Amino acid sequence: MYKKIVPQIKLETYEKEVFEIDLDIAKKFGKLVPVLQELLNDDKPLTIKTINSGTLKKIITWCTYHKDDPLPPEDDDNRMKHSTEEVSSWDDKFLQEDGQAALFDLISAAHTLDIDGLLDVACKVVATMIKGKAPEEIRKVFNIKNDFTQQEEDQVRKENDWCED
Amino acid sequence: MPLHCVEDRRSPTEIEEDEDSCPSIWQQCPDSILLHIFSFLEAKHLTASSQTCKDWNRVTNDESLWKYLLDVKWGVKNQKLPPSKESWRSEYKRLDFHTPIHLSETLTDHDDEVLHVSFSHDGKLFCTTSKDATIKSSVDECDIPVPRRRSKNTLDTPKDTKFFKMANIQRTLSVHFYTRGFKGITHDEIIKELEKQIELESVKSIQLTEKSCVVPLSDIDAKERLVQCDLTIKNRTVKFIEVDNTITNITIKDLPYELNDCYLATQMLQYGKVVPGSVKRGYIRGKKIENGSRYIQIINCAPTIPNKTTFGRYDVRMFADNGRTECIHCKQRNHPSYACKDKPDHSKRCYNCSEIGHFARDCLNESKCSFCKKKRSCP
Repeated sequence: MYKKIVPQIKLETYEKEVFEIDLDIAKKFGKLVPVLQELLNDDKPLTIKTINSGTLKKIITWCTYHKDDPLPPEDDDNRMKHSTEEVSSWDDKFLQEDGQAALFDLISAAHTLDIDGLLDVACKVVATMIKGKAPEEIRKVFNIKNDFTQQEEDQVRKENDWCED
Repeated sequence: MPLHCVEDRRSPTEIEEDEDSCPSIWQQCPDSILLHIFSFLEAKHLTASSQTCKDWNRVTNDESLWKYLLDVKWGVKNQKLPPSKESWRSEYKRLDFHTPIHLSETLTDHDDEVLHVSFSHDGKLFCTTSKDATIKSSVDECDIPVPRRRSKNTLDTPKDTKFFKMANIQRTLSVHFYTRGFKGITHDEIIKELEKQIELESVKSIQLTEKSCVVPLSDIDAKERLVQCDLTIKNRTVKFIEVDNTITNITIKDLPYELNDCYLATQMLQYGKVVPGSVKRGYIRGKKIENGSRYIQIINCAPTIPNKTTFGRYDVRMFADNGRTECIHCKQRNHPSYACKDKPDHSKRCYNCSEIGHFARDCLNESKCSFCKKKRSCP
């Protein structure tokens, strides 16, 4: 009877660890919600192999923290406004505390689970890391290997030099 | 329950293994995630990112990103890319980078919205058209009269602004005359005549071709003087005409002597503006006896002039140059009828059946009426 009052869904991660999530929190999972609601009556957990336990734990923490946030606006006008909003300090600290790899896992997990709010915030954090840096610095920050040949690099630089100030 | 929204098929551990080795996780990132990250970036950061590696370069050139940026900056929501434009990215570059940003002067000549601006080829002059139905030009050398007022409807279409293209304004300072009929005309002869009317300093060049002589000028007064006066070159009077106006010479034949020139000029008004005083009568060579031809010049003539028409009760034939009349034999417009190569040989026309190629004495056909092409029944 208790289960019916606070419905919970089960998610199985890559490490075969099963998490029980309140449906209130799971409501953040965008397009997954109808799938999850069907699973309610089923005892078998939903297996998502691309997400590991640590990431899911973080996602649950984030969703719990932002449980009462209003839903992000849908139309494009608000999206512009939305995209320029500052990342809150809690989010910033929360997302960056485990390093880049974790942040990347979090982004891809948020993408898979379709958590718009988390995806936006995480992408914004990455975008802030890119902002105001020269290509060489960006490569260093994100550990990107330069796969251009010298010729290609010159050409790309030529194509893009109009925007540098 | 199938789950199709899983895009990244690699396991998290694989990604972690990749972290220290190259390529980095961010290079293997699915495009959709990269796009999402880049959508928070401005143009200058995008271009910086595009120089890091091939994958990022590909993603940063995505049209959706640039359209979004363009939309934020200039508001192009729900618009399609104009067919003449290459990409949204190039459009952003054009608007952002190629636009001069230094305000040097504010012009407040127009009372209403400015619709079109045209610059001259050298970039020194420009002219604008506006919803207040006026055209203004910024001219630093001299004041050029441009048509000041047109109806509001015609100003809206870009087609009409062709008319105001700066090149044309510069052209309006040019005059020309037809050199057809002159043999071996030289620059010196023209210069000698021009000197009598205007100062040579205002003449920029004299372009002499087989058909016409074009004289671009730098001075509006010189132009007006040239248009008004007549020049005598090789004992013939020539008249300078504005370059924008094409003159069509029309020859009208079979007109009776009594028909006065005024009546003819009013009749010809339906094809265009008649050059004043251009109606001339044709004479039999060497004598003062008229042959019934009239010569008339028309400014900006209608594209088609019929070969045959009637003035009052007179049937007349008309011949015009500039391809305004078609050849009566082959219906083409690039040559007059008398120069037609397909011209039938009238010397061998049969009197009996009116067909070409044999004489009546050799005719095997039945006799036909030459008007109705039927067996002789025409009264």
